[in-house]
Amino acid sequence: MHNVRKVKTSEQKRLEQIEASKAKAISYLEMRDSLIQKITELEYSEDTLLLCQKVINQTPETYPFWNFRRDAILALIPTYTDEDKLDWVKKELNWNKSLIMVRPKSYWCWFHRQWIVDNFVEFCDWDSEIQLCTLALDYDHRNFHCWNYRRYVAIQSNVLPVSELAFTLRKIEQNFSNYSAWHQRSYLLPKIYKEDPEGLQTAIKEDLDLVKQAFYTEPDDQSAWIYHRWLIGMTSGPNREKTILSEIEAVEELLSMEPDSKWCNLTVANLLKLLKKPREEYIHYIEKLILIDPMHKNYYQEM
Amino acid sequence: KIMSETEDQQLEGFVGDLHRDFILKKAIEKKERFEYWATQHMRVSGIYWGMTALDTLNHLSDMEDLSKVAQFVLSCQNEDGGFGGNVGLDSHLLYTLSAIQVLYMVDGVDGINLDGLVEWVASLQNDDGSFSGDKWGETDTRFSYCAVSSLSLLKRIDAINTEKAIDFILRCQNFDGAFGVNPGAESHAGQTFCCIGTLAILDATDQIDVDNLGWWLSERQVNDGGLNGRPEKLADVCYSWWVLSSLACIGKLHWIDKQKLIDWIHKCQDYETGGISDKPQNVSDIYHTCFGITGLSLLGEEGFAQVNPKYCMTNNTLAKYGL
Repeated sequence: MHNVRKVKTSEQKRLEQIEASKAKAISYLEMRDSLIQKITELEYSEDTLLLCQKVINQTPETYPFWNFRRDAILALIPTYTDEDKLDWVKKELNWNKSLIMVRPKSYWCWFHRQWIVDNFVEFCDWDSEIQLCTLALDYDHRNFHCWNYRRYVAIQSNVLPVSELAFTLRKIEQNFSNYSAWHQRSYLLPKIYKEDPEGLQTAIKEDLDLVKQAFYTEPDDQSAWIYHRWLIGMTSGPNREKTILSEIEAVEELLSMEPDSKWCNLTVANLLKLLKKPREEYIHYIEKLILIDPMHKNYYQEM
Repeated sequence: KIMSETEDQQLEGFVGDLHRDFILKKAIEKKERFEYWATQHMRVSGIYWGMTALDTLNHLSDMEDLSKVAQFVLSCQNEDGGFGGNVGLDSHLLYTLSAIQVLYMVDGVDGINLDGLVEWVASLQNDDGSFSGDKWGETDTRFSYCAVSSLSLLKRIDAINTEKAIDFILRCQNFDGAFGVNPGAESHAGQTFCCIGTLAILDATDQIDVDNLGWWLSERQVNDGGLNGRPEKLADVCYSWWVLSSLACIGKLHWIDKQKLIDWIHKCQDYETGGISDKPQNVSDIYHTCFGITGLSLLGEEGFAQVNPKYCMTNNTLAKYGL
């Protein structure tokens, strides 16, 4: 269980809750036992699928019912005409979507969707799958189930990585503190520029500017800083040292406005280390870090 | 006992006896309640969490009739060789691992259809080295961990392709040094534990940059002393395990502030009903009780049995079968 506040309830309220739970169990078990009967008899029918849906709606984490559903689907749906298949897939995906909206972090729900799309690919609309992901990410921009499913859809339907890169930019512009979107950029850039190392370096420089906007706006947000660290690590070529020095300058400038910024101090120290400067040159950043972030002092002392 | 005061609440230190009572009460099945049926599919895991907590508190002997537990868990093994989360439920790697871990604690390992189990687990490895959770094909680094840990506990790790298993894990490493569900997936402390645990069991942690990963993990400790699972998220007791054990496996446990974390976990105890919750003042449950307690053990709290960070089982229990 997560995020369930402990609430003081009166004895009467507590007893009422127990009675409600008992009543819910009785009506649930009636449906469930009926479904189990049909499973035992291997009854694969539309009625069973409907009953299965009702049971799953009550207990979406009860994985054997999802398994049975898939068995029933494989037995029943291939016998339909193409028109009916299309109709059925739409309904199934709609129902799955309604479940995802109430249980956005359910592994079983998202996997079932992927399974339907895998097994009925000719009857699926990739655009609406991407749209579902966009919608779900509007509700929760950090939902990794959704990001994973979106990556899967993009690969299966040959969505151009640059188009997905543009999507991450939109998310970042909505909210700089979107670690998931920055992560997605780290996944897409090497893909896009796989055969084009020069192009990659240009893209990295552009992202260094983007990330600078982010940490200037919100210096306490770690997403941009961690991504920045990666960008520097990926920087190569004859201009590498120049780039790093210019980054040091930019962060020092921010540091002068925010002297107690952990991320500024840590980043400058890391960049100086990267240039193989002697420890005396960055030791005072480390000492500052130990003062402002004592929980991590053992790490800083080992830098 | 560790004593300290906060504005909100006077801490009474660690109330182990209350947790023991909480766990033993939870072991009593309340089949008339809906909540029982909502979690019925993962009963075997529930037993693992409860017993591991008791084992770490050195209270395993307080549980009645361990042989009955053994009998129950063994009856969850199916014809295909895998274990379901309860009797008659489909096999899945998640519950197969929990089953083996429980059987270790109740001396029931010899009752397993070993060849059947090993064959079933091995059949779930895919060409790219990943593991599906069951025959339906969902892949996830959690399942790599379940497979590798299961077979390691049964000393049958030779049944899978360990090189490919390692390769797959390495492909799940991200720009920040940590690991996600599948290649390309965002880093998450839980998935990271599964990957690091897998590498540690297979003796392959030298294949990753532990400094980078260790730093990302240490950054999970937030201002109130608790640990979160990903950047910009709230602290949660279960990450006390996932993050700590990962740090322990790569020798960087000292990169977090242990005392602050101990104090924070203590605040997540329910001093009335016992048990530990995900955050202070939330409802406690078996899952968070388990990981709060195993986390405190790793942090060196006195009076706790030593927990092995690779397996999330006590060393006492692992020693029963020579691990």
